[in-house]
Amino acid sequence: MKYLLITLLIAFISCKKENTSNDKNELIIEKQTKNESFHYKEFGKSLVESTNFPKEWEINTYQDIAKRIKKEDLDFQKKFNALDYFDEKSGKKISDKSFFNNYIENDSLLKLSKIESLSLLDSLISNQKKIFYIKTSSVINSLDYEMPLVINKIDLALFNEKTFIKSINLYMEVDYPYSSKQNIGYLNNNGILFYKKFRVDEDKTYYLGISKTNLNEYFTKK
Amino acid sequence: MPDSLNYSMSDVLIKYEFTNTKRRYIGPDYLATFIGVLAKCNFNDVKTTGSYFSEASCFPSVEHVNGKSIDTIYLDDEREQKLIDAFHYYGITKQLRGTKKKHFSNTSDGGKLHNSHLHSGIISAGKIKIIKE
Repeated sequence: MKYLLITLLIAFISCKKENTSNDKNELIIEKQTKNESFHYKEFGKSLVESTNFPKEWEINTYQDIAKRIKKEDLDFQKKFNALDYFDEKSGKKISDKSFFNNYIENDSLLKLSKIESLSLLDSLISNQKKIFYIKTSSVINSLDYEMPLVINKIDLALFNEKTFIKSINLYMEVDYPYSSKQNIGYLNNNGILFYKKFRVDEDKTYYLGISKTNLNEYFTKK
Repeated sequence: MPDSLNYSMSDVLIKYEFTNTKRRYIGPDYLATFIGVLAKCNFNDVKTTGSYFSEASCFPSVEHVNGKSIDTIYLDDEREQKLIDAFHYYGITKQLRGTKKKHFSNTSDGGKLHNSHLHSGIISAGKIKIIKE
């Protein structure tokens, strides 16, 4: 009888321990699911990260035969042009933009623009959250500028079900009347975004610097 | 140059409008060329960003000084090529398209600054006849 009681007690304790252990496992699994980050896919060209540029170099916008450009400067312009991937990206054209209204309204440029095309290049899913890769071409007709501004953008936009949360720019070209702003990003598989900024005028291209953003952190911060 | 033109007779239409530019002056030879281009194309939606200011400058640009060129907003690719060819027909020798635009014939790459507009300039010698009345 004494042995039977001890056996039952051991069995009870071990069952209880097993249950506790199961609870923990469930907790761990739940926690992992809640914190699960997006599995980012490489986007853009790794050259964005690896190519070095001087602060500025000369260009010959008007193909002036009297203007001599150094070979070194021609090479930098060639490298700069090689970073561009906007025209290589194509996706599903979205004609009904209503789902993206909040994304558009929260974008300082798009909200002022006439959007000529909006395409969905890709998407990432984690639980109820989705990140859309959105490519837009748009025009701003403003009295502040003597001709329409042409804007080409690619953004990552985070949505929680149908609610827009926030976005980050991967690529942007804004063509002003006498200059052009060019920001080009490269996103690696780990979710690190390398983002280089340039400005182009009639005589020179200016390299304005690089920034690095961890999207795993960016998209979890409020 | 006039703020706009809208002339129509039989099957000829000469029509243009300005964008929001203040560069509303142009060399007379370039205006003659532009009117010829418009008459040849018969398009009713050509918009120009002009050439230079009244004092003959075009700051911050340097290329339009003294009205020796004119910029136009892009049309659809098919009509744009017709416009470019008409400029070429009337003696324009330098036409610059944007890096992101189609590689139109009779144009060369004018970089990112020409993604928003076509640049047409430099009339070949002997193309303009001055008629004195």
